[in-house]
Amino acid sequence: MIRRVPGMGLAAVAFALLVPSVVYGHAERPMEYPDPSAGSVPEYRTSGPKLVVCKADSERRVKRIFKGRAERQRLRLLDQCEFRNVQAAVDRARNGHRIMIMPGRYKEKPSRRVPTPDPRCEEMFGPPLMTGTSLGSATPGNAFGEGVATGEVPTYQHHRICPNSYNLVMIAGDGPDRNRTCEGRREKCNLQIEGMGKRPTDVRFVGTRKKFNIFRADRADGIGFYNFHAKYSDFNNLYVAETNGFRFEDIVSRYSFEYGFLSFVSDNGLYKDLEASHSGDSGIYPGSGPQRERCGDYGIEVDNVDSHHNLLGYSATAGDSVDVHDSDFHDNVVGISNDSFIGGHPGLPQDCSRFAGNRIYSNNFNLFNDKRDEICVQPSMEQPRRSVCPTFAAPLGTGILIAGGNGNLIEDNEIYDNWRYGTMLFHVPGAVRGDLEPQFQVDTSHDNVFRRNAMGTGPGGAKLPNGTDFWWDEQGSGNCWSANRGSRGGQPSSDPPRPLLPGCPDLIPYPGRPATSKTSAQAPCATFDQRENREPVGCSWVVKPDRPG
Amino acid sequence: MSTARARPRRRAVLLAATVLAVGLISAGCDDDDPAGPLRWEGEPALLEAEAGLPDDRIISGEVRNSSLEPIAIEADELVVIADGEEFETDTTFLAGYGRGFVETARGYADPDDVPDFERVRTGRLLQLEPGGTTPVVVAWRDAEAGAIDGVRYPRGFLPVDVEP
Repeated sequence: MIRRVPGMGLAAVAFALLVPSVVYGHAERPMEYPDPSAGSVPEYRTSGPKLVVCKADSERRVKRIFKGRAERQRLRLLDQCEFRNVQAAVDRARNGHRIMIMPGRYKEKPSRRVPTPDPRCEEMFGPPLMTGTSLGSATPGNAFGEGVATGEVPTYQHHRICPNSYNLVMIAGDGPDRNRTCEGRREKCNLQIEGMGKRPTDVRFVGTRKKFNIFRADRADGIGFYNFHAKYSDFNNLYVAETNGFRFEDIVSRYSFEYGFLSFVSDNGLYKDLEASHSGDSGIYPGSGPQRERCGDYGIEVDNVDSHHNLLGYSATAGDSVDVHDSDFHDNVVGISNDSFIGGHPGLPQDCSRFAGNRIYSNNFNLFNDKRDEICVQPSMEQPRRSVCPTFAAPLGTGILIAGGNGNLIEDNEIYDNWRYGTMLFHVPGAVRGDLEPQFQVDTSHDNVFRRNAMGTGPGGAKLPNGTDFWWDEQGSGNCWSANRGSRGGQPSSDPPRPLLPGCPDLIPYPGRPATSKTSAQAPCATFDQRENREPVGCSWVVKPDRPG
Repeated sequence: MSTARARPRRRAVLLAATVLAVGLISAGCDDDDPAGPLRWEGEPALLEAEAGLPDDRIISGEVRNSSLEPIAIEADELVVIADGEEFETDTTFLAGYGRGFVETARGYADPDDVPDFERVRTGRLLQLEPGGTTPVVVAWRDAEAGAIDGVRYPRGFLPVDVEP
């Protein structure tokens, strides 16, 4: 039986912080999980009030892309164009509008001209609230007499009133009240933002390192994004926060400094038919995922995505209750990662996601080499836009990493040609995320199931082994491996060796044992620093493994 | 990474120096005696370095603050010593892998802007009250794979007696 670790519920939580004048990561304000019963994944709409955005060359592009009836339809739509920039259309939009974007290249220049931060909102930063725990509570002062509060974060009002302070296109769905229902006349829920080309690349959004996000949708319940291309953001190409019901579909994301597609403290979401590549952190990131009552009830779905040439093809701190299926994660440093590393992410520790029917292969993309270092040691603003710099160390050559997770189901996947490990499972003591109480030190990794996966066999039955198919630090209870097939149908390889790998469903209770040596051997990688310590002593993660076999 | 080159002084090091200057713990007379406030809690373990790192060695254990005052020590200040020679060393005060919230590629406008709680959480800074314990993992690079004397830290020394 999978044990559900108590989650966050709908409690208000705090996140880390941002000092406006000092880059300290991309922290967030306190957020609340939406009520999943009050929302749903938005459906694609072909009717309803619309606002059309176009560029001066959209007509030429339409005539090149479309012929016949489709061309005539697009040209009639073009006749209704009122806006040159998407933000202007969003500003006009109200609940239920469709924003239809004609073929062209969109740099959102008026947004770029807004200072970061916008001085009109210089007072709209949240009170300093430090978090060192997954519960988001303020860390008490310690024996060293240090205060705990530093820095501030933009409030929701900041983003609503100064939408381009940090974003090229900002969609603040709800009004300033906290009832989380879009009942007001001027609110912007259930928007549909759609490229009107034939392919995603017909509508291109070009980001800048001077703005965190290309698109930020915040409390924008029911928002859908469709059919366009986005690249070059400083943080996220597309970002959905504190939103009930969202949809990313048929979109290409490239060369974000950190994330391609990210959702946070949101529910009823769908990532579908996406390509995400060349992100310095993750291509796909449904972090702080939905808080559902039981494992098996998923609040976000990831379907048919192709994520490649990122540091992590998919990752999610506190990536709870996400169903990832029928997708490809390949040629990343690590294909898929779920973790509980960093405090302040609602929903910790990570639990209850599913990975099924995916192809996870050839994740040997080496971002830790001398040539890359020459680029990545430069400040981020000076790095070429078309570069990928790893934001932290990761075990190069790993297919799936569960680093502090419970109750995850990994089944029916094809996992091959990952030169370190096919899958890697280890626990993360609560102290790492700032939870110091004794009961949090061994609250991961439990009840993870690995079954019916095809290991080390590529297309057409080709023998493409992983370095070791299954690696486990031997900590935790309820973890099990069954009915997995090794290369060419043989037994999969594992560390610990097979007799010590518990089977399921005839689970022999295995309480785990102190994982000191195997877990501790990973610790030197914590000293990785892109600028000052790119090859930590004792850290094998940044060393490309030899091709197995 | 810690080598023989100078490191920036930090507030924590000044605090540690102050504590040690009180003379609560007597200094050892030779390489087998501990000096300073840290003591091993149990025996440290020599871990097997993973493939691809033939010259790297790792010890893992738990240390205790045996003094009567709180201490603060930077991970960068620990150096593995053998026969008076210093080795390239990386240390973390964590039992396993952890990482910072701020992406290392970004760095900080000023490293001193990183709050201590974050540096403690990521194993870069040790803060221990009297009697408190913490895990420590020390990695060093030694192509000859010889025995070591121990780990030196600001005004302190932890002997290490493990066979290579």
